[in-house]
Amino acid sequence: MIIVDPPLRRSDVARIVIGASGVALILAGIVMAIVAIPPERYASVVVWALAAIVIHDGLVAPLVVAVALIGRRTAQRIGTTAAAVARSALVAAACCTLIAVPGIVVRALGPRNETIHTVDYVVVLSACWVVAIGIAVGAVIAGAMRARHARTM
Amino acid sequence: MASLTARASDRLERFFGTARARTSTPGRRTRTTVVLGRALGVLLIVCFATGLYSHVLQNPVDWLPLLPRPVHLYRVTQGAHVITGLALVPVLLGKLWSVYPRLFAWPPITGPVSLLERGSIALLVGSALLEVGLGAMNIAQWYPFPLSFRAVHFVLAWVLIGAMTLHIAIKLPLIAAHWRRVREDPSADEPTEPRTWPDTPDPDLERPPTVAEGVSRRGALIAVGSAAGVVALATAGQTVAPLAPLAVLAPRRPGIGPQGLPVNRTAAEAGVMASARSPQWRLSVMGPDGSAELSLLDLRAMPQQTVELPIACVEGWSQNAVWTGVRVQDVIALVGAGPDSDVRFTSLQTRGAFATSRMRREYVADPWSLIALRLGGETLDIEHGYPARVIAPGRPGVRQTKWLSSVEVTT
Repeated sequence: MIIVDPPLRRSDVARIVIGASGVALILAGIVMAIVAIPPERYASVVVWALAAIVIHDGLVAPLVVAVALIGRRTAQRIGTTAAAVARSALVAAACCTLIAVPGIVVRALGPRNETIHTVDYVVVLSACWVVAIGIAVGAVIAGAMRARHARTM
Repeated sequence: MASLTARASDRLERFFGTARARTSTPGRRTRTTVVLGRALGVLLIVCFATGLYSHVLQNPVDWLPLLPRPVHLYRVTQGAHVITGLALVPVLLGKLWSVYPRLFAWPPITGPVSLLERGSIALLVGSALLEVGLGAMNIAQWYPFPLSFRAVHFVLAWVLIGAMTLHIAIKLPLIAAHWRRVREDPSADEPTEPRTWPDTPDPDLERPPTVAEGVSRRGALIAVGSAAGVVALATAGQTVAPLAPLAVLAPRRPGIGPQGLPVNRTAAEAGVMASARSPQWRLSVMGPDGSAELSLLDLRAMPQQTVELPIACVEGWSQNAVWTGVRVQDVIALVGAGPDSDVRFTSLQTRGAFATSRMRREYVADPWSLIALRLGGETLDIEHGYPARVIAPGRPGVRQTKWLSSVEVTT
């Protein structure tokens, strides 16, 4: 008989069950990897997963931090609502750009047939950025005017 | 030497401290992470469940019954898989943004538990980023990885969902403490410096956020939500017909292609340009009572059925079309097989991984499972499988074998 002192609370039991399920699912994935992936490819999977972390932590995230630092004073000056509008527009455009990159590469290389990637993504993204920057600039102007108005009241 | 080590350690500590301060902003409260984590969890579970369903359809297991109806089922599940997968891009990046300052904790490892936690987070982040990246690049058909997409995407899905579950267990107290919204406290002292992500969990978990923190948090969530919404709107139209005009970032657009339908594998890629057009083409049918050779005229002389069925691709695009042809069960009846039979279709194609397809009895028994000869009232275009292809309800497009050469009753 195992005696646990102090006795486990219900939340501890839930944690152990959830954690054990997670470990079981990871192990299931590893077993399936052994069955489905040739051993000479294991290193590639690990290297690509590490590369994804390095690209995010070392490139994408610092870029976002840099942009946020540059825009911090403006964001403080124009107020939270205007800053949220400007930020949302720019973040949405950036995410659309990330999604479109593979399609741009395929269009440059030549798609497999003429029913794939029929849209010119560069034109779409240009329009997307014009709209996003327009919204951001509009928000900055509106926010700055509101802030000035509030100061003069 | 010792002083050199101490100096290096001191510098590193200062560097990490500065990086943590620079990357910490008021919106990065634990509550932000929990809200984004909930969205991420829901999207990952939808992706995992729909991906598993797609995998089972492509690799059926005998004990599990499959569902030909409703006819749009696979279209919905695979469409949802790809839309949620793409919406994961902003949500995943937003979640990582909210915890980014944690990367600069110093010392990075404080003991076995912290090592385990860091290891599980590395597994979670690495598998999530790679899984989403592989999926997005695969549907765009730009796949520079030396890895089999199907095998790696499937295996990583299990690792990712397991790592997420383990992460939930590790963070459960924090998740529980920040699950519900707490009103902002206007009387709370605003931090003079931007609030840094707590190195350890906030000492006072019940502390309501200051107004600045609350507003910044909402701003961050609105940005992530807007980005996810825009990404979904700009891609969903490849499978959700009313949104088709907005599908400006989708690899496919409905209505574009021969006979108004997109094509995945072309006749030239499959190496069937000559064999599919040959006047000597015959469909071989093999069953318990022997075999038959059917010409295109023979097939056209049989009772024809017209149905409106979607063609739904694993890559997430789908489109409804009107197909005319002979019921699969009528064809195999010619060789003495009943509708409760399993059959195997073989294509003329000489290149590609989907030259054969097994069709389980659930689909064979469905009167809408056809050997299609016509599309939209016209003879099937060679790019869509001329002279004859399979179309059945609720099956992935890669299993709707084109350029048929034989039908074999297997049980």
